[in-house]
Amino acid sequence: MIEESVKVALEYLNKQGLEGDVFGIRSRNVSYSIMNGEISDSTEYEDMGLGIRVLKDGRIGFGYCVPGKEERGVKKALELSKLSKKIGISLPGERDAVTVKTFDPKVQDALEEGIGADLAQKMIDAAYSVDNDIIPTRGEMSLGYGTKVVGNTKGVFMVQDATIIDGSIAATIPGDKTSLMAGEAGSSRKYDVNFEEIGLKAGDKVVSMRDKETIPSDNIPVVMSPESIGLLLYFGLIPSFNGENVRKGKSVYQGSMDDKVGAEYLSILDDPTADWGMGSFPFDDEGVVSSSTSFVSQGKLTNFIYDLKEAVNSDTESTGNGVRGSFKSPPQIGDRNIIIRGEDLQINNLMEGRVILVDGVMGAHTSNPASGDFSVVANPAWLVEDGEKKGRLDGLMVSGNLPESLHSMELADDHKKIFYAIGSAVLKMEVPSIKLNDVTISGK
Amino acid sequence: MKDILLRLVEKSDGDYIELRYHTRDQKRIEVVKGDTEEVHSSTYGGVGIRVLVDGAWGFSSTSRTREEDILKTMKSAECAARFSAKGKKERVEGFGEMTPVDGTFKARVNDSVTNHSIEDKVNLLTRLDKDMRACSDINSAKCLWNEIQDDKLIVNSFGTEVSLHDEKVEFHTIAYADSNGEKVAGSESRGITGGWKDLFAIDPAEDIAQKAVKTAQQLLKAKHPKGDIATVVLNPELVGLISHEAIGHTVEADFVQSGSIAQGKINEKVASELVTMVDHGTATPHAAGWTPVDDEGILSTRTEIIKEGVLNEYLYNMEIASVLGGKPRGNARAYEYSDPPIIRMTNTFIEPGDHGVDELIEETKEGFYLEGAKGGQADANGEFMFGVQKAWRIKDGELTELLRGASISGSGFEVLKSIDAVADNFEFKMGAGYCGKFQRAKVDGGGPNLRCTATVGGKQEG
Repeated sequence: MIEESVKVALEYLNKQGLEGDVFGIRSRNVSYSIMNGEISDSTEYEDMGLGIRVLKDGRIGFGYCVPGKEERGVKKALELSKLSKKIGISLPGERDAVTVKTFDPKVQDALEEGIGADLAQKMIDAAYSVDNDIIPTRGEMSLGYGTKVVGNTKGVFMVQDATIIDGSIAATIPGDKTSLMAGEAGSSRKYDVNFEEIGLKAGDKVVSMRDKETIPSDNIPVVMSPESIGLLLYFGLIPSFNGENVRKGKSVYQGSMDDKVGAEYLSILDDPTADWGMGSFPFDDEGVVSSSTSFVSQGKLTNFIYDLKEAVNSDTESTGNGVRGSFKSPPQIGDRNIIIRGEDLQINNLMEGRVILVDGVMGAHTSNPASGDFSVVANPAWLVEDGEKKGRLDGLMVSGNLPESLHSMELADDHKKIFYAIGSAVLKMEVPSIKLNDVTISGK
Repeated sequence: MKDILLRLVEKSDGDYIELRYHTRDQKRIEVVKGDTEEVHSSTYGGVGIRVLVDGAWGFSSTSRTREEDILKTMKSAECAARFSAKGKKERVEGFGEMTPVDGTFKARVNDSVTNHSIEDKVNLLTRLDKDMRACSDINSAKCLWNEIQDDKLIVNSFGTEVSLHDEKVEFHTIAYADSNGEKVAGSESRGITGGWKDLFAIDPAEDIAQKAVKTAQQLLKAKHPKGDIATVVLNPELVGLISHEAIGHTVEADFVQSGSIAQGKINEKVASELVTMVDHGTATPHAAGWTPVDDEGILSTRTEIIKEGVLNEYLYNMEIASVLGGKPRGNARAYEYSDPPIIRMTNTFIEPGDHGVDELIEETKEGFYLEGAKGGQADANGEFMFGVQKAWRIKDGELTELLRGASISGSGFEVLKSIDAVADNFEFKMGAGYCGKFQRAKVDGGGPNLRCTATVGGKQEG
């Protein structure tokens, strides 16, 4: 049905002699909330709509509508185009498609059969099983599937289905002064998430927080879990690979192309063509066929990302990074499926000697991507000696500079897919645990 | 539409049902460095349905508004509730005696922003952007406008029939200056419930933009602070942010049930006796979190979260209020028709005290005066970290140098205990932002200036 609606809008654009593109989405999602050790409620969500862009006299107008109101959507976009600045983007023409795996029918079946509640219960039971004091206080399990369509008046018309399954749980040990809390999450496009393991890991983490350690302000290496380093990199480093930020001088990498910016073993890329990647898709939200963009290859700065608009401003080609939050938003330049690769060390090697293990950070959004400086509260965090957790560390601040850390960071082989929403930002990454050797610790 | 919703209440198999028809008109304009980057106008809406079946909740929504589509959505919600009920041990038993609300609520609006065309707004933003960039040291600027008109119909099994019209508007200005290759930004924003004249009642748009310019120019010459525990004087924006992020979330009853630090602390001393903290959906008609009635159809009444330093009351929805023996006071809110109502703050603030504003600084030998927030985050233990726009060093009772890139962190209740003076001024100052607990919500926060102890972080340089 959404394909038909996109076709109707395109036909109307063509009939009016207008140039433009149409983005259509139809999705269905069911989620189960966990509260106080049991499933508290279930929410079903269906979304369907079109985002329409009209290009007129070099200006872009954007409107959106639901199926059946295509003509109104086009007219609204046309009206608003008069108020926009002249940019003169060029819509992509038909190109050879790439094949990317994004849809697993087992996820769709699980949703329709309503077994999500059973999967959520598995997480709960596993967390309870670790220790009698644990309460799995909060969590969520969700299943979703949908269809994305992008077409334009130059003949592009692409359709693909995708699925997603994810779960998270926070395990708490209540206390008088401070409750101990730790969490675990897992996400995939395939029906391969181990919900029992998520519950067990959350339970293990919170139990290991019972003993408390203190540490003076120092320069002790910090090993950050995939979730915590992912969050830090997302706010403090990845924006520096955005072509618009580079052009506007908001990136630490302006004028650094081909320079050595990291260790030789380090690669950072945005690869939406990776099968089953959390942000993978064969085309972007502007109808550009997906390709992999390397930011850092063997330690050298190699490329930035661009959408159609920024490609014009920067006099280059789109890298297929036009991204929309929903059909209600016009596309903006954005990363799609970030992958960080390094030496693939065993996690035990990273934990040798005296290190701090960090599994969550607060304040990552205050990082300065123009300089790479960051200062975050680490919670939960543990003091680790030769691989053994000695106790949790409260009120720990970790500060440093991410571009500098790229030269000496050590990367483990425990690559994890992360799909995590914080505010309006959505992290879609595959990242391992990373040891930062040049950070400053302010402890209590 | 009301008749359709009422018919469906009768048809429901659930023990309780609430139906909410919600339409939204939204306009968003962004002007950056002389260019209109975004002009966005939209109308959308639908029906959100929440039902209680076999002691478990189910929620479903639809953008289709024919009666048969809404009926189908109601059946989906009932089906979802039955799935949830499968593994549920503690079932929702009911909510006790609830008083139905029958009424129409309208935001108090002086000169609706809908009276002004999109072209007028684009022209205003373009002019301000140009004026900002004409100022010394300013090399770029951004102006942003966002307006929302909401209309809701809420009906439920208790006989509640509510009609609500709400208008909220935000206006942001940001000026960028360059300092030895490092960019600094000065921002000034306003967010209210109301119209054009309400938005610019205190400061005209030009003055707001020039405040952003002045901040950027000042920060250009500023150094970074060295991190340490310090005496700090907070302005109303930061007082609002701490009230919301570090305390407010820990007293939301769903988080309390999940083991937040506030669990079991009712009637305990959690703050200096100078502190009375309140959440109130109708505290003033123009605060951005104005919510006269929530999405469960409960009228807003004042919650004294902390009364003279003692934790007094949590924020509830109907369900948890009945479990914990509290009173729902209008805090169950949903952002869009497709969101279920969850416990949210509205306007959260600390009551003013009797200290002079200037005395807070004059009496401080060494410390910081912190102004303006740059986003915040806190956890269930009330540990928080916020970015700060301007940090003035206080030495011997006087503001000396301005510092930039500062942050403030600490434990919410510990910081409240350290408060030794609360000024007699008051301002709501958080209305331009949103709370992001699972779904968005328009909230406000504020209070007086006050003095406390917290960790001031920075770039770790002298």
